[in-house]
Order: sequence, then structure tokens, then C-alpha cells
Amino acid sequence: MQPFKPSHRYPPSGTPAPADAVLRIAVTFRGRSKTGPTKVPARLSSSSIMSFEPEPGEMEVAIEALRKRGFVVSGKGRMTVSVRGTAAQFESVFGTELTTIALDNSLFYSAPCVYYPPEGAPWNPDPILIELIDDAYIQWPHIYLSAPAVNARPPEVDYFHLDVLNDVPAKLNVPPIHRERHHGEGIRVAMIDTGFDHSHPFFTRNGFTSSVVLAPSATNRCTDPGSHGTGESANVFAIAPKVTFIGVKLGDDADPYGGASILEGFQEALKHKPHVITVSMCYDLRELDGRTELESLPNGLKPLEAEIQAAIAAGIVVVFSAGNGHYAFPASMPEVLSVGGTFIAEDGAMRASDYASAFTSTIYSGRHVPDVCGLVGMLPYGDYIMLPVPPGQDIDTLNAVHDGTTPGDGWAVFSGTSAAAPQIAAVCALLLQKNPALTPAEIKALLTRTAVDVLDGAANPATDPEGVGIKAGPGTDGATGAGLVDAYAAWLQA
Amino acid sequence: MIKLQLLLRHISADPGIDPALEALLARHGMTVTGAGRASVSVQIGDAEFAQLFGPMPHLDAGFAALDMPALAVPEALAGAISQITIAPHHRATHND
Repeated sequence: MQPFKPSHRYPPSGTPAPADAVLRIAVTFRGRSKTGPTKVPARLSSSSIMSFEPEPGEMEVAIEALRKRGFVVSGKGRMTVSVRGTAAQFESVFGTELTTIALDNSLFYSAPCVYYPPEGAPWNPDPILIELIDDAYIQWPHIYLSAPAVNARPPEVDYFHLDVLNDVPAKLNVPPIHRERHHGEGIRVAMIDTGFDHSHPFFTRNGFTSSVVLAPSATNRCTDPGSHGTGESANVFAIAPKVTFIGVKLGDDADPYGGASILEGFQEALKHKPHVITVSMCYDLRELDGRTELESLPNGLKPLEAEIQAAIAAGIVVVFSAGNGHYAFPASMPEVLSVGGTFIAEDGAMRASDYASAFTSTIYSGRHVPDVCGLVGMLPYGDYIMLPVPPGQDIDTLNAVHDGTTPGDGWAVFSGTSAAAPQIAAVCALLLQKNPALTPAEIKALLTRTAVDVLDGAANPATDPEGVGIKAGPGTDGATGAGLVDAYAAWLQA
Repeated sequence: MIKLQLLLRHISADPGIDPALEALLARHGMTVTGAGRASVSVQIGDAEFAQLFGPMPHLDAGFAALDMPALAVPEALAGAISQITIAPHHRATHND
């Protein structure tokens, strides 16, 4: 079930243009010539072009004819007229068919696609109109020659979603902590992720500061082509804006499949003596049957397991996302604080996110994932929180297909348990600021006994061997663990 | 270069590489890239890998599949290292 209806969806390439798609059309005239300027088989000069200037009254008569056929004049020059009309109008008036052509999303086009007659399409323009004009040309989207200026303010989308700065803290009951003047000061939170482009105006204009370090094989501290770390780190700052944020970049800009391992990132994070380590990544330990979790931990993950256990024993709070339909390790480790998903609708109704994982581990007997929940959207995409992302990079362009934002605008609506983990990591930072002596186990106990019970919904079917999705219910339940974190309730007991 | 993960036989109180162990690993063609309390990450060249462990298994962008077995620990390293594996690939948890 989708909680929203996107304001505009672009159809797939090759499909008919939506009837109500608005086109930008340029109209040319013959002037004194028998043919128009675009049909001359020679390059025109600034003097020869004038032979195509409309005769007195020619443009006005054509404009009136276009208006009668439903087009709206949007501009007028000496040689051309710009009009706007729908795809349906264009197809009707010019006797043609328009198809969707997807554009290269690695370029900063002003729109992700264009509607245009395909090769071989009919062309039978209105006979009266074609006597008055030379031709009509659908204008292609233009390309910005530098990354479009990114706004610190997110774009409007016409469906319910969360503003990361206002809604995410509010729904986790964080504002009373902020009113006590606790914002995470003095607490070091290390986040291990693809990278962190904190030059985005969301971070700079709100005064959020960070340090970024490189794990082995990672490159360039200032960039984040993967976009994941930049966007999800906003969740940390929304809740604990004054933490000492240490971003550990795993990504290699030159190789999207390379970069550092989580273990290397974790080892790098340890150098900086963090109080909290948060990781929105996992290994999906799924059996070959596709339905169940592995029965034992692969050897290749035992070093990471040992390192996490040692870190927790040394007093570091380690937070991992529970997965989005993944049998996520290390979230499955009993010592780790595993964070799943709860969705809050526009009317305030709470239910388990069907995007987030929930499962009982077969590797760690009796271990149930998640412990608690943060805020996560619903299937199919988890589009729920408006987050800042590097403009023109992966998430910005790919998510724009379904989230109502524009490619290149530096914003995308998404979530996943990738958002929930840093939310709760930041809550942990607030708890540690109040009581630095809290151990990881004490923090987990605090969060679980004060969480808000989630009664409705079910978790992601992909982590249910029955394929249905583990259901929420009264008390600690399979789908949401102890429930949605109540930051202030936990803080009062810290 | 191949990324290896070395599980230490003894957990140390503080994260970081023991200089003696680092030197021992270097003599086996391994360059330390990271160290915690319980593990060490190293990189090793293809030729050095083949000499120590035999033929290179199939890797995906330098990372191993989760079901790849552990490598045999060279006798000279067995006192400090209990297991050697090739780093596995992870995934992000925002969408797939």
C-alpha cells in the first residue's frame, strides 16, 4: 500500500506521451520566402535570415489560429513565436503521434525526458494552420552547464512526506531534549558510509559541521557519488545537531564497485575514539532458497563480528540498520543495537514499515531483529523523508523517477532502515551527553523499555519464510521489536 | 591488490597495529591498511597472494562472495592470526 500519490510520473521510454503533458513549441514563419528557415539546405547568415521575417500581420493571424486550437502564447520574437500546449493538442492539430524519449540522466537536463514524434510517425498538420506558419517544433529540454544551484530549502512535492529537520525529531519526541539545551555537544558519532558531501547548503546554511576521513581505498573526502551517506547523515544532524560528526567514507570515486570494506571502515572509525558508531549497510545472509537466513556466520564476516564485539565491550554503542528485506548482518548480532522501521501516516497513525526487515536469527539463537525502530517509509520505494543529496549524483537522478523531485535539484525523498539507524544513533548521542557513563547494554535497555508500542502493520515479506511479513502487535513484537523510539522518555531515565 | 581480513588470536585493549606484527605481515607481502582490537585489514599483491595461498579465487571488483572459505593461515603467522579471509562485499540499506 502506498501512502502517497506522486505529483508527476514520467512514463517509460518508448511509451506514448501522456495526453496532458505540457509541451514547449517554437513556431517559425516563411516571411517573403516560399519555404521556412529550417528547411533551407544551407547555413543562413544574420542578413539572409531576415528574408524569413513574418510579413506585417502574418504572425498575428497565426497566433489567433493557434489560440483557437487551444495553444497558449508564451513568447514572441521577431522571427518566432513560442506557444505551449498539451501533447493531445499537438497530436490532434499536427496529425502525429508522440512518444516518450528518456534523456541521459548523467547530464543536467532540465527534464528527464522529452515527448517527440518517433521516426516514421505521421505528420498531417491542420491544413489551415500550416498555410499560416512554416512549422512547429517541440523544444527539447536544455542542459545546465554546471550543477544547478542547489537550494537549502527542499522542493515541493504534492504528497505526504517528512521534513528531516522538523518532522523527524518531532516524531521521535526529541524537541523537549533540545529545549533542555542538549544537542549532542561533546559526543563523537562516527558514521560509516559511501561518502559525505557536506558542502550541500542544507548542512552549511544550518551550521552543521563534520570531519570526513577516508577508509583504505576510498578517495576524495569532499564527494559522495553514491549519495547515500550525504542524505542519511542528515538524520543525525536533525536529532543531534551539535555532535562531533566523523564521516568515514568507504567509496572510491573512480570505482563504484570498489572502495573499502565495512571492516576497514570500522577500523578507521575506531581511530577517532567514537562514542557511537552507526552503519547503514549490511550483508544479506540469505540461504540459496531465498526465503531463510543462513544457519551459520560465513568465515568472511567473523573478523567484523569480532571487531564489533570488542568495540562494544570497550563501551562504544554500535548501531546497524536492520535491513530492507535483508537478513542483515551485523544487525543480527545480539550486542548490536539493530534499528528497524515504523511508518507514521499523515493522520498520525503508526504501523510497522513493510519496507524494513524483521526476523529471528538462525545464526544467533533467539536473537530477534530489530531491537527498536526509527522512521521508515513503505514499499515499494520507501520514499518518506526529504533528504539532501549531491546534485546530479546517483540518488538524486535515480529517485527522481518516482519521488517527485527534479534530477539535479540536490534533494530526494527516500528512507530505508538506512535512515532509521542514524536517527537512533543520534538519540544515543543525546543520552550519552546526559549520562556519559551509560554502557551500550544500558542504552539498549533504556530505548527498549521506553519505546512506543506499535500495534499495526507487518514488516517486509522478504524476511518472513512464509513470505507474508512478520506482524506487529501488543508489546515487543516481531515486526518492530520494542517499538518506535521515544527519545525524551529515554532521556528522562538516562 | 586483494583485501584480506585477519582475525587476531588475541584481542588487544586498544585498536591499532602491533609494530612487530606489522613487520611480520610485511615480510609476507602484506601491507596493513587498518587495525582494530580484534582484526587487521591488509592488502596483498596478486603474485604474493598466489605464493602464500595458491591460485586466486574468483573475485567481484576485488571482493569475495560470502560463501568463500577461509584461506590457510601460513605457519609463521599462526601464532598471532587465527583466520584469514578475503573481504566480502556489503550493500546499503536505503533501497535496492
